[in-house]
Amino acid sequence: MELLDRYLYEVRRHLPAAQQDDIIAEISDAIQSQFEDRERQLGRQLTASEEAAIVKAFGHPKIVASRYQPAQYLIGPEIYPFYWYTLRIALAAALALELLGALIAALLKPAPLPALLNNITVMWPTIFLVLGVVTCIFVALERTGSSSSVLAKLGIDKWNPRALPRPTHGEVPRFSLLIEALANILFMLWLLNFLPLRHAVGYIMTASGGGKALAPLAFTPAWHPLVLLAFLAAALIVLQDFVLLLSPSLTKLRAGTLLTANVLMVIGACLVLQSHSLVALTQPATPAYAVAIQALNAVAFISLVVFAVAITIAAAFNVRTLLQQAPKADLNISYETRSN
Amino acid sequence: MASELAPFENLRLELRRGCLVVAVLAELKHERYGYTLRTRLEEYGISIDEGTLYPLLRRLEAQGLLQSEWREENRRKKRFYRLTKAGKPVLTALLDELKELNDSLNRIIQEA
Repeated sequence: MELLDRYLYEVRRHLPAAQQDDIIAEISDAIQSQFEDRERQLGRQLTASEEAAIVKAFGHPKIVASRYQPAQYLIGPEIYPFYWYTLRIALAAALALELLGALIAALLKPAPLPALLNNITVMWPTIFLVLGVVTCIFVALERTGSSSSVLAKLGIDKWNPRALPRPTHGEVPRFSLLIEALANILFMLWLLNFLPLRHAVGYIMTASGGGKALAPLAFTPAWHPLVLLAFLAAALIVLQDFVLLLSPSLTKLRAGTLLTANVLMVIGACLVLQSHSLVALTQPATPAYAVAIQALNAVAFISLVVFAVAITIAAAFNVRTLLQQAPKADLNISYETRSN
Repeated sequence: MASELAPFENLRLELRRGCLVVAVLAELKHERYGYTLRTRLEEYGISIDEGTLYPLLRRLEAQGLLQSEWREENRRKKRFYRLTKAGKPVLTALLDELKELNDSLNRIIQEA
């Protein structure tokens, strides 16, 4: 009996307070009835281990108690997809705002890049704050009323099948195309030595340097083929972006253009790799720089090889896209529902 | 072998869940207390462990389908359950549903 009391005490601790006495009385009776049944079968008193076996078969106290709890979910399966969706949007929005704030705050400092890195590392609390707030709201929604009424409250049950977007067949969103075009135009301006851009980059990278070189080092003319071909590749990509903005379904044209750009870049990298003098001194300097030049040349050489390999891998993916069969026409899914 | 049967175990639990409710409601047309209800169901070949049965009884009572009463029997207080007036039509409707489902299933199995 002492064993039973201990078991009941443990179950009671995990039960809803209002129903504790009632539930415990019932469980106690159920187990005692089993004891009596078994005693009748055996014709004698149960041993302690026989009692323990019956109690054990009843189940782990926490699990037994959990079956009496009304809410088993923190966030139920009905609203979980909406929780996940909201969480992603809220996190992205909060991080974007933080990043913008960090960028603006950093640009006002005398050393923007270190300040920016510092600002970014203190963004962790925001992530946990957003996670906590969104989760708390959804837990509260789950606790107040059934999940279907929650869906109604959020207006999700008013969705319209006609408003669903058409399936895309590997189409790139227009916004991404715009960003890609903008990035490539900036890259081309940079290659063309467009001074305001160079100054801006130098300003951010070297605090107030304004494009001033930190050391008497420069890239050698060996890089010229790559610069020329990279410019050509960027121009092709921008051209392709504007064509796809008008008709986004030309996925083969996109893959073809990207493949051409890849090939141009790899050719450019290979041409540069013919030379072993990639970085040079711009003026006679101390012997320490001569050692640095050797190391920098090695780094530049290895970086270029890695770059060429990466571009080749990207090219392979574009070849695959080019060879892929055009997606089949929409599947004809038809179904009937019967009332019974 | 055990891993092969794992999906079966889950599906079996799901399949039984609804049937258990019907069996419990039908058996409680007559007043019984928890332990005898369980042994009776077992005699009919439906075994249900207490950890499932008692919370189920409580849920059905909260829905107004069952009513319960504490009474002393054999020197111990026991809780007796029975179907309520509101529970009767629900049980009838559930039995109709079960019969239709069973007929449909039989037709599907025969034709398959």
